[in-house]
Amino acid sequence: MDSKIKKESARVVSVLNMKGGVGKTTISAHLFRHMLNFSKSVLLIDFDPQFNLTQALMTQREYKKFRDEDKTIFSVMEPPSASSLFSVTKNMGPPPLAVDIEKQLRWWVRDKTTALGLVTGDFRMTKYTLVDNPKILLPAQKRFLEFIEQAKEHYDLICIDCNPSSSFMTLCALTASTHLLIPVRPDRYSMLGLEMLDEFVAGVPSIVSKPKQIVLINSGPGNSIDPGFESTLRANSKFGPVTLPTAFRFSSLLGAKEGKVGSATDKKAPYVNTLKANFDQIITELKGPLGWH
Amino acid sequence: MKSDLQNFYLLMAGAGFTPYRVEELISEISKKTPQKIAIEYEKHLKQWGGVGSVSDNYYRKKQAPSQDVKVDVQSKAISLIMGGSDLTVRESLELVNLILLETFPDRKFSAPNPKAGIASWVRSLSRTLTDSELLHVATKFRNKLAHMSSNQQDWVLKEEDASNKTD
Repeated sequence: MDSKIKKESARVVSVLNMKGGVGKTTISAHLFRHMLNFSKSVLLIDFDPQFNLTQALMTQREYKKFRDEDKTIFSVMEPPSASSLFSVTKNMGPPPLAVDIEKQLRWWVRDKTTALGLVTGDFRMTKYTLVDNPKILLPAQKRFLEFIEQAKEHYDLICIDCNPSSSFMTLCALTASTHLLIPVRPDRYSMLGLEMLDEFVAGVPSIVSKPKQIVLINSGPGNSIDPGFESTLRANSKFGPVTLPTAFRFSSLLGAKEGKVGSATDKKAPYVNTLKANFDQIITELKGPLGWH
Repeated sequence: MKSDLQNFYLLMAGAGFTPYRVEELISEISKKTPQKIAIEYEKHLKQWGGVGSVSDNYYRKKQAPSQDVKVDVQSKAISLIMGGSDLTVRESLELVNLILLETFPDRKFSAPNPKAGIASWVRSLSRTLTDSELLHVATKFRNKLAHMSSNQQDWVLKEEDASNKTD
């Protein structure tokens, strides 16, 4: 496959909040596809052992093929021969290339390079929540960081869909990230999850270059945002100036439906244009913090 | 500014269409529905440099997006500053200016002019501040007036100590 060398360094965005159920996977699955409308190539990485992002974007049959060929995120962390539940081999060699393991969801007509790619998730990633000694995991972290570095050559943006815990995986994602997209639902726990994440990022010395934070309000069902919530968030000296003006709108098109996979806005359905307009607006607002003017 | 129709005439002229061929083209177009034309046009647009997919799901784009999806940041900021306040324009501007200097001590802003009004100053601030920052300042102003910090029993987001701020 032809490699597309980028002059500008790619952005690596982790979608993360320490609170679960704030829409991380929904946002990863549906929002970033709209970067294509702004001529940006995107790689989505399913970094959650539950691999809901993968389930949202590809069929079970397609996934099985990737899993059987060992083309999942787990192959980035360790080669197939190293698989043991409580140990990680020290000398594992280089990671695979993103272009060799990705599922090409969209491509540019002009040169067939990937416009939207997905590195599929893997339940075997659960092992990284079971290993007690973080030193044992260092080779896997090194492989992941090398993988991201080489992937930056081929895409404009890499989105890492994280799981909501202060685990080894979160540490890997944060170390690789230039930006953090933090979804918040208009409820107090979700907002307090912001603070926990901020403390986690600040308190880990190995994250030398702290990722730039961007807060996105996910309005949730009903699309109504409590004015008290919004005024508290927007007035906060740390999170207010980095909260995007437009909220991510809830739509039934975004819900997981049996037998339906793919980006919500590629479906022919009522109200899809409202959703597209919302996503395009959020992407436009993201361009500033991402340094794309 | 030229209308779309005038631009269309220019494109036809540039492509060497005679008036007779333009008449034929319009006649052909009139036999199709706007939806059909939009779908066919999108196919050509994709060939020109768009995006392909496995399923090749073409979708029709409507011209006008829903109005309520875009937040008009300036209007929202103006409404936060003016709405429900008993302060005069001069007092409001002074307080906003105070919040601005306190929030962004290292930046320079144009001085408020009470005669020009709040809306005019907000427009000028939006050239210096990002949309998120503008809403932040306007919301701080609104909260200051509303004394929202009165409920000390509740869990709230911690505020940074201003003396520890580095940027």
